[in-house]
Amino acid sequence: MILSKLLIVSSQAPYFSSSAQDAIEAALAASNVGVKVTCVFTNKGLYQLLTEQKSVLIGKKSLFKQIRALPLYDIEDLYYIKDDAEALSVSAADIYDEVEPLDLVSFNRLCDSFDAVLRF
Amino acid sequence: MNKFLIFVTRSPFESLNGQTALSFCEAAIKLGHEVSQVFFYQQGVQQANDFIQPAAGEQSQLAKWVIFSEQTRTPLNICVTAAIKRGVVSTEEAMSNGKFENIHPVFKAVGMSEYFAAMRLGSSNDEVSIKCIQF
Repeated sequence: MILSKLLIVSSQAPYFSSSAQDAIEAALAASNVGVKVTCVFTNKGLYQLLTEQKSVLIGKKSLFKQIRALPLYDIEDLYYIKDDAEALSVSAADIYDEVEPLDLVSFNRLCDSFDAVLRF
Repeated sequence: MNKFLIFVTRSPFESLNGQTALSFCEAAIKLGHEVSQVFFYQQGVQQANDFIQPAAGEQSQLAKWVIFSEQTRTPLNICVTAAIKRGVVSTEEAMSNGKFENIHPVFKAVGMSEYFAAMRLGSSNDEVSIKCIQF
């Protein structure tokens, strides 16, 4: 059995708790040892993808900047759930354009194709 | 036989997460499976906090992990970065920062890569099935 594909599901709003930051740190640590990482942003986790974030105002590192840098660490497969964007009234135009939309059926299929899933 | 990598993310006083993980580990080993390691991340690092005193009449989750470790020698790894920012301090951190250590000695503070490297190890061995379970 091949187990080097990890799916990270990030479902929490940025800055409200440490979950979003913890998800990114886990993704980087896994990629660093050669695990192929895919990230999916669901529910309020979509707010992490908004390009206009002024985290300096609350003394935090910008999550958007960290997400934008993920491809530099070989984490290139980034998705968000289209249905969640609609439910949150987040326009595709406001979402970082390197992150691809996924419908729920495709997301379920994607989950099936991974041996390990970590949810934050 | 399966090999399990267990990922614990909640503290002992906010949920039964750790207790459920421990019960799973005990059952898996009893059935002949192997638990390669238990990794503690996010609030899960509090499972290793030796300063936590359970209220009167409540059982100590830490004491259960200690017994489990003594009986099975299963590695109990905690994420050093997640730990230090939550005030859970290893011997090394205590020495370099002049703090008191409060990680119980059955736990080992490691980098997160320790957990993911074990996943990679599984991919190179087709004989053994590795399963990662998050609690």
